[in-house]
Amino acid sequence: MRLLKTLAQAATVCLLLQPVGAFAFGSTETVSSADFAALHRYIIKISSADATNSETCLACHGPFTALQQKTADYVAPNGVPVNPHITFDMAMPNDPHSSGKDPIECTECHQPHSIPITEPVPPANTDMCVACHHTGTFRSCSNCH
Amino acid sequence: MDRRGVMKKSDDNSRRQFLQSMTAAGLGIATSGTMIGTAQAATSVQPESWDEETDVIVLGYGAAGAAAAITAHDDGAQVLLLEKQAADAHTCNSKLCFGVFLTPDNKDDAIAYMKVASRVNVDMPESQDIDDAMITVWAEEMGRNNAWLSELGAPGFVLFAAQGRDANWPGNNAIKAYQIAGSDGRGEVGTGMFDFLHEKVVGRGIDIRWSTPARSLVSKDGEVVGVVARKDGRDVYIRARRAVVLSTGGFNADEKALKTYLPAFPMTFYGNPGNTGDGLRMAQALGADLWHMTVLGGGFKSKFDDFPTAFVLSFGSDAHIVVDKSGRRFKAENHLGGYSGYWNALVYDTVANTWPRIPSWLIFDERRRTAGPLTSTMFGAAGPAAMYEWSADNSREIERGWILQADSIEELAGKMGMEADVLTAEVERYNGFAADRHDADHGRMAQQLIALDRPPYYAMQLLPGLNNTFGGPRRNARAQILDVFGDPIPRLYSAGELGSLYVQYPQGGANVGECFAFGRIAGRNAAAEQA
Ligand SMILES: Cc1cc2nc3c(=O)[nH]c(=O)nc-3n(C[C@H](O)[C@H](O)[C@H](O)COP(=O)(O)OP(=O)(O)OC[C@H]3O[C@@H](n4cnc5c(N)ncnc54)[C@H](O)[C@@H]3O)c2cc1C
Repeated sequence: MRLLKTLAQAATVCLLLQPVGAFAFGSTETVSSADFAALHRYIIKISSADATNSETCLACHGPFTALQQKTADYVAPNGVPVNPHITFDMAMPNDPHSSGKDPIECTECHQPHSIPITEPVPPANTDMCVACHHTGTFRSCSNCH
Repeated sequence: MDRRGVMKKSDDNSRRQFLQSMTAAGLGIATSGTMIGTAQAATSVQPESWDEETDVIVLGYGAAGAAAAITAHDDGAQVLLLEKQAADAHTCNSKLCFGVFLTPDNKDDAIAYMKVASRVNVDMPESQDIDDAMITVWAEEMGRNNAWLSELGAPGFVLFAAQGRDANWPGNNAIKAYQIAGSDGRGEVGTGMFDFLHEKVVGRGIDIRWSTPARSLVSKDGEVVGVVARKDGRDVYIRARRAVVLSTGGFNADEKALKTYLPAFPMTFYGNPGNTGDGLRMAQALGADLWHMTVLGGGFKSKFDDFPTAFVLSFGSDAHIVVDKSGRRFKAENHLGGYSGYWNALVYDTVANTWPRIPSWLIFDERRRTAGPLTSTMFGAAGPAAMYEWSADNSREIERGWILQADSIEELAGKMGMEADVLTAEVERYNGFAADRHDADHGRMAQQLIALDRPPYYAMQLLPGLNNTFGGPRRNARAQILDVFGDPIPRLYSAGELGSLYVQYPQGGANVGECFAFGRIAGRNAAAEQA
């Protein structure tokens, strides 16, 4: 799925984002001219991007470390605090989350949205996490097994 | 006692007189006089005199018996606890377990959840198999588990499960399970949890009789009035002025009952070899109705002929696959765990007339062997209950023949009695999936696709492996045992896994939580009977 098919769409996004440009950067500060230029570059980039690719998402919502900071206080639906924005290093099956390599694809938990957003974005879920962390406490497997 | 721990009627009963066939008592036919039905012999006898008496007799000392004894004592009853095993060889399931108990955090959600978990077929509301009153009492009483433990002096709790088994079931997020907090901040497993209860029982001066198996219940005019127990080679007749609580655990170590009630054979258990269904037979002898005889929870476990119980396994994350008798994988290995995992073994081949997955085999390579013991050393037989010490590098178990070793997959197949071609082709195919990071056959998660390529290779036999049985005498919301016509058998109560109310295992901790909740209910109501 392409996010933005035409230049006209890109222009709409640009206009839409201007007043809330900060939103795209995850801060509520006023957008500086540098940010503004960066925003333009992103819009051009995502206009040809694939929405199922995490890079596309991170163009606006990233970088990944910023996302991690944003959700540092996240509480899962079952009431347990856990940062959902973690990495899963395939090369380290015994300790997959510590190396900082391989962020989990955004679309494992989130549904991509159109730009501009026309429909309400469904909330993300932690199904992927609890497929392994079946007790929902997100403790290490070796705590019990 | 014979090999399976089934007690034979002793012949030292010369002073007792055989009165009447137990069948009559079992069907509730009115008879006068006092009858003793041994759970094993279809006869009843009348004692000339009682050897001793108390208010409430609790049979079987696990978490359920402890909760019943503590509660009955605190409600003013004199309590006697009879335990079949010796104090230094006491391996009740409550000690072998992980120490996790369920305490839902709100009643309405717990009821909603349990109404789904109580269906024989979760898709069909009409298949709910315990009534709403029972579900309500379960939700209320289970919800008080932590408060009760705190009142007893528990220092705190460690959250074990923050949700139930299925996010699609209503109330899932209220299904919380805990362990008692240990001094190191980690949760106590079964041994620590049971030590805590034991301290409370001993602290109250409750009389515990070790090495004293109950043999049968004594009834008079349909009411339970006492127990015949076996102590030092002779029968002891103990009168219960108020009531008897059956908490002797399940029938996991009674081969006859397993053959009668379970769908396949062998299905193996990693619990107490002393849980031989004694309470089941004692209640049956008085006409008890049965329920949940086929309910089980577990996955795949290993059992060896020269050891009395099965082992909890830890497949680990190093290279391993699980294959059927022919050497073929049948399921993503990461989906073989959990409380329903054993269903994957229960597939019958109606053409070849065989159970192709009984046994199955765990195949692994040198990396897994050296990564740590194949069993859990945190709980179960090789845990702190110390029934067995499993070697850290699995070498002793290789020597014992529990784990087969070979330099090649072909040779390993020969040792398991499999066609070498089939297993070799399967391992090659799996190694291809590992290289592609994609399991085209069973969709195993990519992170677990690790090639089996580091000889020597190993195999360990797997059976459908269960923690405990759930079946037993049917009980009502007051923890009374019901007869086949639905009427309570007067002064007879039950708690724990013997006749558990579960229809599906709702979540880890459900058994021990039920032991606490129905132990308290049974203890309360037993103590409230008129002496
Ligand atoms: C390895 C393992 C791990 C588990 N982990 C958990 C967990 O973490 N959480 C959970 O909720 N469930 C767990 N379960 C299940 C749970 O442990 C049991 O269902 C529960 O402890 C049963 O308690 P109980 O008091 O009914 O029986 P038990 O604790 O087994 O006690 C029954 C007692 O009765 C005695 N007895 C038997 N016959 C007689 C007789 N004739 N006279 C006198 N005494 C007799 C037995 O020797 C035994 O001591 C686990 C089970 C196992 C095996």
